[in-house]
Amino acid sequence: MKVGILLVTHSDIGRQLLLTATSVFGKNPFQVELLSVDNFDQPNDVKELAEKYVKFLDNGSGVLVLTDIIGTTPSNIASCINHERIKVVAGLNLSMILNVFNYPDDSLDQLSIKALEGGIQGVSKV
Amino acid sequence: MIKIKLEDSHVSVNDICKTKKSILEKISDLLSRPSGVNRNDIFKRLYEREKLGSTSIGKGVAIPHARIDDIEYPFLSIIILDEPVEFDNIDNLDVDIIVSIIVPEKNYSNHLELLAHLSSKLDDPLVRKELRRARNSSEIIKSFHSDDLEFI
Repeated sequence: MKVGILLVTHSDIGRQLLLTATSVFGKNPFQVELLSVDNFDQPNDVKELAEKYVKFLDNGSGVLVLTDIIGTTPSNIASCINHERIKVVAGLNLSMILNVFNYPDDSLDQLSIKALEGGIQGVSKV
Repeated sequence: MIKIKLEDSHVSVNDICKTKKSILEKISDLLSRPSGVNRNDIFKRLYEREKLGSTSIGKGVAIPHARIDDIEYPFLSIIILDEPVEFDNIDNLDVDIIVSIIVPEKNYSNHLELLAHLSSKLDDPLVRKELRRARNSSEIIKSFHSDDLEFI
């Protein structure tokens, strides 16, 4: 079975990136859920929710958690999720999601590397 | 215990929906009257969710889900299709078991527990077999009885 994906982001960024990536790629080949974090959210509540999402998404192949800027509440929450099969990558951008979409059958370890590579390749001088 | 609403009228067996869209419309029809929510509002929420990615969980099963204002409890709807339908499925098996939930906007922690419960239940090949064989709504509903769910 496929890896599940959870996007943990500031407000609506995750939704918009996912919609755009899905539209550019033509489809979203993964089971994905979104968790948006706002200023008024209590980190502990969100962490609990994140863990429930991960539990739902993990069908045995694990869950890739993608989060936006490192060191802020969403990424801090993502890094504290208590779950056995999980990889967290921060620095979410469109290029990261698109690269991941290209490898729907990869394992969690491989996919986390694809996320990292896609994200890094997406930043360059034009 | 998670409280849910699931009644005979929320279930459709031997259904002949042919497309993903018509399945979402059917769910909206089944749940509109019991929940008191406009069918177009239910459809819109389910459709918006599908745009983010399919709610197919593989092996012929999909769990379309959405959060809705103005309902107090989660409402469950179940459709069993005669012929599997392409549902942007995450594997190469088209979908013939659709277990849909609408949940109150406010309490989505419960919503997730319900999703996790349903997906692990539907991961069991015996449960899927039972659902595909069922001939009426009461047989379907019986398959969902569990210590974790309270039917209200």
